[in-house]
Amino acid sequence: MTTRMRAQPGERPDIVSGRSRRFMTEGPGFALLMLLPALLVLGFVIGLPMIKAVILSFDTITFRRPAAAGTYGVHNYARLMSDPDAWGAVLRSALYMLGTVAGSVSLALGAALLTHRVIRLRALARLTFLLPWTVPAVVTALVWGVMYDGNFGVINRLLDFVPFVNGQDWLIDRQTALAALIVAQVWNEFPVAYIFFLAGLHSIPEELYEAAKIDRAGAFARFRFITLPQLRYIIAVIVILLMILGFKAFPIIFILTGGGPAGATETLTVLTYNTAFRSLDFSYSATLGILAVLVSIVLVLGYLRVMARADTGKGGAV
Amino acid sequence: MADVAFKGVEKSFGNVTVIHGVDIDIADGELVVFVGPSGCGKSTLLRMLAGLEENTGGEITIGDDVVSGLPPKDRDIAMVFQNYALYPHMTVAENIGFPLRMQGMSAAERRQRVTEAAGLLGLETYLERYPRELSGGQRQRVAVGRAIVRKPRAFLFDEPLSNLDAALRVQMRKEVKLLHRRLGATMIFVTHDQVEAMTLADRIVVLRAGRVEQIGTPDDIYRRPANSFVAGFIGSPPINLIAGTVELRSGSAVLVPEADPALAFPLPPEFDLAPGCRITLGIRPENLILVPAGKGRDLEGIIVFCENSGQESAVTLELGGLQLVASLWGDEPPAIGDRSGLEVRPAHILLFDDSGTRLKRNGET
Ligand SMILES: Nc1ncnc2c1ncn2[C@@H]1O[C@H](COP(=O)(O)OP(=O)(O)O)[C@@H](O)[C@H]1O
Ligand SMILES: [Mg+2]
Repeated sequence: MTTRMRAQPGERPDIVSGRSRRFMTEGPGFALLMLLPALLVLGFVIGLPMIKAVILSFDTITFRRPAAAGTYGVHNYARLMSDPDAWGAVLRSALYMLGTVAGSVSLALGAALLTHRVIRLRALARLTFLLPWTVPAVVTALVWGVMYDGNFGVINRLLDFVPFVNGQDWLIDRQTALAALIVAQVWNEFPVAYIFFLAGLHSIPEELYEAAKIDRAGAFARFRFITLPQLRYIIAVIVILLMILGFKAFPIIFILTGGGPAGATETLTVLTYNTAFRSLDFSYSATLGILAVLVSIVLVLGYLRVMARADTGKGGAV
Repeated sequence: MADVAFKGVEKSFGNVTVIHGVDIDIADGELVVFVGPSGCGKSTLLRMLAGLEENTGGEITIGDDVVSGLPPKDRDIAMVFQNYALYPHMTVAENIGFPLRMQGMSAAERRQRVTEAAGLLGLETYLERYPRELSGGQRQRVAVGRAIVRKPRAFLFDEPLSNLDAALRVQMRKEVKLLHRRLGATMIFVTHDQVEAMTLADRIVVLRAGRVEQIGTPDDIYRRPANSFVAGFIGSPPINLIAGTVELRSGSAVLVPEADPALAFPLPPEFDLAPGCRITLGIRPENLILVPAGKGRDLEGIIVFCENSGQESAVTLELGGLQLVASLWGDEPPAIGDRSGLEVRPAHILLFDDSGTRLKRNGET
């Protein structure tokens, strides 16, 4: 629908003077004008630090060579290319990301499937699953830190009752540290996915399930042929959102292990932090930050693509 | 294919009973239409037969099997829903083929059966489309295709045509009838539209508030309604119902309407009627004949309203305190405000007693 009026008889449509004013008062120019203040603030808040970071990544601001400040060049990027620690961190970020996404999505989907048909105690069931989300990541980290403790942590205490499974120093053992962090992160973030899935499940018409029952589909077939395809855009959106969250994750890792033991949990974000504030190599840290931004941009582009497809209604409800 | 029977079937939701002991026998290969006003329990009956609801009393059988308690997939029935309930993420071919896929049929065999069913419904060129790319009528056909692609023991239709426009509805009605003839299948068709019921059915089941009012052929239902509810529900424009008292006037019985005691409708002699008893006279609009006014007519009124549909005019006549509708076929509709005489075709008079039950004529079985 267009809001613009047709030329009335008697009005001369060839008069242009009114048109540019109209562009600013009701056309796309008007929209731009209204958005301008917000864009300016956003540009200032987001754009300026970004530019500063880019500049910093070409500079040489490091504690080891204070005098080198102001020496611009691509040396930080050259170093990044051949830095095994950096690429190891990227790999650990990827593992962390995939682990948290897989864990959160399956846990959230399972919880949503379990609770969305519950009628009695519905509010309680949902509150239970939403609760972890309300806990700040810092608190989550501290609580899991206590639970993971090798000597008096509740996890090892419980494992005492399970035959043939021994307790571990979960956060100190190189084999288990990253997985232990992933579990804590999943516990903290899966409620986001849970509420999305719950809403998604509610939007699937009951009639589809009834039709499928008549068509002799069993419970698993109904899940596989109705629920999953109907949820696929929500799942795709959630997966990418959680990938972004997982890739950016910082507080839980930082508080529980700080990247240790011996770098076994040093993801790109933690490495970036450690480079800046432990090694005090600010320029290289900025370079690592730029790398993280590039990865994030790829993820965001994927997200936008999925959203665009979902908007055009490909396979959406009739 | 199989016969279907409801025996004393009841259904309660919580402590609200919505089906009160329904008995219906449906023969193998029969097309039976359940008709009744909205909320009378048609869908509930169908859903209990399909296994989407459990009956809380009585027994439902398909073929020789008591199906109460069985899940839908073990009942081997197909159902077409009012809103089609097509799988939106599947193409037409996948929708129609879904029941076969659930049976574990091979893809090749499936394709052949789907093509067959699509051919029957004129859907061949739409097989790769998604439901959202189809018109309402086409979606309806896909839903029917999904039902006929396997050979179920019975087909259930829950108001499948009510979302279609009038012309399409008439066409689909015909197609359902033809389909029934071609497949020779047991079909149960639910509708609130009495015209649909009359035109489609081998037999009609008229329901009201969870009870069966009458089961019979369309002709039975129309000409020999069991009671005044059935008489009033079936037929358009609806039957004229005149409540009054029987009186004797010069040796023959007449009905004196409550609404206007100055009037008297002669009653046919084939009824045993005691003077003074309260009855309701029913006469369908096509059995009231408009005749020129004057000449010492018993019944004469003023034309107050006329609904002209082209082929037929429903003319409302005011006789004192009474309004009657007569239908006029083919003729030019009369002018409003005119006086007109009225004749009743006595052979078509229906009488209902105080409780609404139709009184039989002497000699009627
Ligand atoms: N799930 C349900 N819970 C409670 N009452 C219901 C339910 N389904 C139907 N009813 C009631 O049962 C009655 C019959 O409903 P229904 O079979 O859908 O009527 P129809 O299809 O004839 O319009 C209605 O009064 C309706 O309110
Ligand atoms: Mg209904």
